[in-house]
Amino acid sequence: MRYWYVIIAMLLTGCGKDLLEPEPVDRGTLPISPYVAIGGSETAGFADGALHLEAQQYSYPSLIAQQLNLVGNVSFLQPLTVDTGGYAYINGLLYSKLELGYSTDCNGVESLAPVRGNVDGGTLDNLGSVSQAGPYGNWGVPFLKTSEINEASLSSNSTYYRRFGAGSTTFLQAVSNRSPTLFTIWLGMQDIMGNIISNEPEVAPIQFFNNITPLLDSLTADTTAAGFIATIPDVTTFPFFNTIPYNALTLEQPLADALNQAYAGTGMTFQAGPNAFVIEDPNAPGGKRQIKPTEKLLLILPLDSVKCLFLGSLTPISARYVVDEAELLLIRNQVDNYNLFIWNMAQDKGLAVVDVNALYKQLASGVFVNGAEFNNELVNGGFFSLDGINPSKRGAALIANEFIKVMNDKYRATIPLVSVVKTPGIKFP
Amino acid sequence: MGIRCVVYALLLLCAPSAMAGGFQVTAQGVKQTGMGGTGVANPLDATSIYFNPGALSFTRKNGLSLNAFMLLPKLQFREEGSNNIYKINAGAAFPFAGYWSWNTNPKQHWKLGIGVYTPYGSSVNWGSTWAGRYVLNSTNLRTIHIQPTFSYNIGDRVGIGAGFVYSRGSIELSRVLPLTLNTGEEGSVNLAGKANGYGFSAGILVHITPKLNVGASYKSSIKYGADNGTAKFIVPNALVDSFPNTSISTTLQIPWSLDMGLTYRPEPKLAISLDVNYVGWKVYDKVDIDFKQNTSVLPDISLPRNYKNGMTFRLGASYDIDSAFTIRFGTYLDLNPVSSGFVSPETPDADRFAVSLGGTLHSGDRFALDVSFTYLEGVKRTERQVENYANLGGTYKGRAITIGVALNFNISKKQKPIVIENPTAP
Repeated sequence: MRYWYVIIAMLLTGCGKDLLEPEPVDRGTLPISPYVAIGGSETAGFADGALHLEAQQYSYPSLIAQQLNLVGNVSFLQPLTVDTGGYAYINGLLYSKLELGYSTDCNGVESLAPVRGNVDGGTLDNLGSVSQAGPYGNWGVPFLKTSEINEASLSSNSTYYRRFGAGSTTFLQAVSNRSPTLFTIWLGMQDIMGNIISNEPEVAPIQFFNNITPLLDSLTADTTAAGFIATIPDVTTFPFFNTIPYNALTLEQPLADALNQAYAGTGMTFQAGPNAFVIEDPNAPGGKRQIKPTEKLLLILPLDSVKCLFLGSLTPISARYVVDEAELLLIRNQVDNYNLFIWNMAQDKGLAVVDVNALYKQLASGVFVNGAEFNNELVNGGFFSLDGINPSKRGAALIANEFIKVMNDKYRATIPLVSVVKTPGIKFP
Repeated sequence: MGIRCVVYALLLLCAPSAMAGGFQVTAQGVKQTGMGGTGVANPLDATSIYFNPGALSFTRKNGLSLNAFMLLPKLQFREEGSNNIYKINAGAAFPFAGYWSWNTNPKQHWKLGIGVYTPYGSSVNWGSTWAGRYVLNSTNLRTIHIQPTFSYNIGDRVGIGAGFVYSRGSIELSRVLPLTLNTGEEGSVNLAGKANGYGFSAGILVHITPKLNVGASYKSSIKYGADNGTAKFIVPNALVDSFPNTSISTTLQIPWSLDMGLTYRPEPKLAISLDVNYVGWKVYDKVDIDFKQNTSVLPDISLPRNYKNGMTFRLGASYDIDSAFTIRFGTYLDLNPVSSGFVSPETPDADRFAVSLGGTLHSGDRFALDVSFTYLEGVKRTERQVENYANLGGTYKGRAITIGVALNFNISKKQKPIVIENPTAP
C-alpha cells in the first residue's frame, strides 16, 4: 500500500507543471535598434480617415517594434497624437476620425455607416509640435509622396510632418540622421493615390525610382544596417474603389421612362431596377455615358445627391469620382512597374523585399486567421479601416507579420508573430 | 439505493471530458479502469452490462455497482507564430456509472441487469479571450445511456447477452464572433440541443479452457436528431437583425464500437486481460446545423469532421493478494481517430498512452470497495485546422488523471459460485 502513495504523489507533482513551453525566441543576426520605419499614411498609423492615437498604437511599425522587444530592446518612439479623435487636415478643414455609426440620408433613412465621430474638441491640440519628445522611430508621414522626400518644403506643406519633423531639414536628412541599424520602407502608394484622388500629376515609375534612390543610398551607406522594402498593392482592389456598385442606380418605372426619353439617341437605356450610373466622359458623344461594370466609383461619391438630386442619372457623375477603364489600366501598370523597381532596387542595395502586395492579393479570396476572415470588403472584411484605403489594426497586424516573416527568414531570427486576433477589431454601435 | 437515485445522480453530476479517443470516456467501471480499461472477456460483476452483455451470465453475484470518477484534465495550446500559450479552464469532471444485475435463482442460466452510464462526453472551456475563440470558446457534450440487458449462459461454456440502449444526448457549443461591440467586448453565439437516441449492445463470451476466456462485444452507433435546439447571439445592436435568436436543428452521431478481448488465468489468483476496441468514428463525418431563420450572414452550416475509425489496445492484470484484497494494473494505447487538418480545439485529439492502478477491498461477501487511478498522457500534436477555413495553427498537449471509486453491494445471500469463474484446477 505504501508504494501507491509514493507513485500517486509523484504523478500529481508532474501534473503541476505546464505541458507546453514557449519556443525559444532569438533575433538571430538582425540588428534591431534603432529601428526607423519610413512610409506614408499606412506607416504613420493614419486610419479611419484620420491620424489618431489608437491606430498609431497599432500601426504596423509599432507592432513590429513590439515583437522585436520580445527578442531585445528596441528604441522606437512614435509621434503620437494627444486625443482619441485624432485629426485629418483636408482642404483646409480639420476632421476627427471615422467611426461606425448611424447616418440619416436625404430621405430620412437611417443606416449604419462610417461617420466622423464627435470628439472632445481636442482636435487642434493634435497639431502642436511634438518634435522635442523624439527622436522618433516611426517616420511615416500621412500622404507622403516620394517627390517630397528630398524637398525642404515638406515641413511647411504637411501639418503631419511639421508636428514631429526636425525643422527645415528634409525628410531624407532627418531619417539619415537617425542612423538606423534597422529600417523598413513602404512608399509609392501615395504617388498613385494622389494621382487618382487629388488629380495630382502622374508619377512615372522612373520618377518614383529617382525619388527614392537617394534615400536608399543614404540608408545603406552603413553596410551593416538591415533594410526591408515592401511591395505596393494594386490600390484599385481597396474598398475605396469597390464599395459603391456601378449599377447602384435603382429606378422605378416612371423615372426609367423619363431617363430613356431624356437620353434618347445616346444609346443609354434604363429600366426599372438597378441601372449603370451616368458619368461624365469627354470622349463619349454628348460628354456622358453609362459606367461600365469594370469601372469604379469612389467611396467619397456624395450619395445624398444620388438619392435626391438625380446625380448619376440626370446629372452625370463628375470624372473625379470615377476611375474609368483607361485609368484602371494605367494604375495597374504603374503598380506593376513600381514593384518591378522595388524588386530591382532591393537587389542592388541589398535590401530584403517584403511582398505585402502578395498579402493584398490574397484578400480577394479571403485570408483566414483563427476562424476570422479578412477580405476586401469595407467593415465586414476586417482588413481595411473605415476609410477603405488604410489598414485596420488587424490589417496592420497582418502586414507587420509579413515583415517579421522576412526578418526571420533572412536573419535566422525567431521573432514571434503578432497574434492577429488579439489585436482589436472594428467597433460596431 | 435504487436505480432512480442513480439516474438522478447522473443527471446532476455527469460532465465527462474529452480525454479518451475522440470524445469517448474510458470510465465505465472502476475495476476495469484499474486494469487499463480491459473487461470484454473478464466477467467481474454487474459492470459487464457495459463491457460485454454476454459475460454478465458468468458473473457470480447479484449486485449493485456504483462507480464514480473524478477526471482532472489538463490541456494546453501554443499558437503557431505568436508563441502564446493558452490553457483550458479545467475543472474536475465527474463521470458516473451504475449497474445492477439480478437473478434470484442461481441454478438458472439467465441474468437480467440494467446499466446507466456515460459512454461519450466532452467538456472543454478555453475561455472567451484565447486565440482560437472564433473557432470554439467552450463545448459541452453529454450522453447518458440506460441499458436494460438480458444475458444467457449456454452449458456454462458460452454466454450471450444483449441490451437495448435508450440514450439522452445534449450538446452545447459556444463561439466568440469576430464582431466588436462598442464596449470593446466581442459578440458570441451559443448553440444548444438535446435529443433522444436508441441503439443496442450485444456480446458473447466463450470459456474456451478453464484458464482462457475470449469475448466480443458490439455497441451500435446512435444517432441523435435535435429539432428544438436554440441559437442565442450576442451581437452589436446594429447587427441584431442579422443574427436573430432562432431555433436550430442538428444531428449528432456517436460511433459504434467493436470490442474484442481475451482473459487468461494462469493461476486462480492472477488474471491477465488483453482487449482491442475498434471504434467506428467514421460515422462522425460532419456536424450540420440548420438555423430555422437564416439571414444573408447566417446561412446553415456544415462542419466537416472527417474522423477515421479509431483503435485502442488495452492490457490489464489483477492479482488476489488474499481473500480481502485484490490489486490491479494496466495500460492502454489509444490511436486517435482525428485526421490531420481536422484537429480542433473542440476535441484536440492525439494518440494517447495511459497507465493505471487499482484495487479492491472485499468486506466479507456483501460489500466491496474499488479504487483506481489512471494517468494519461497525450502525444504533443502540432496541427493546422483547415476545417471550415478556420486556419487555426498550433500545438496541443493534453494530460489527465482519473480517480475512480466504486461501491459494490452483493444483494443475493449465499449464492454458489459458478465453477468456471475461478477454476481451481486445469
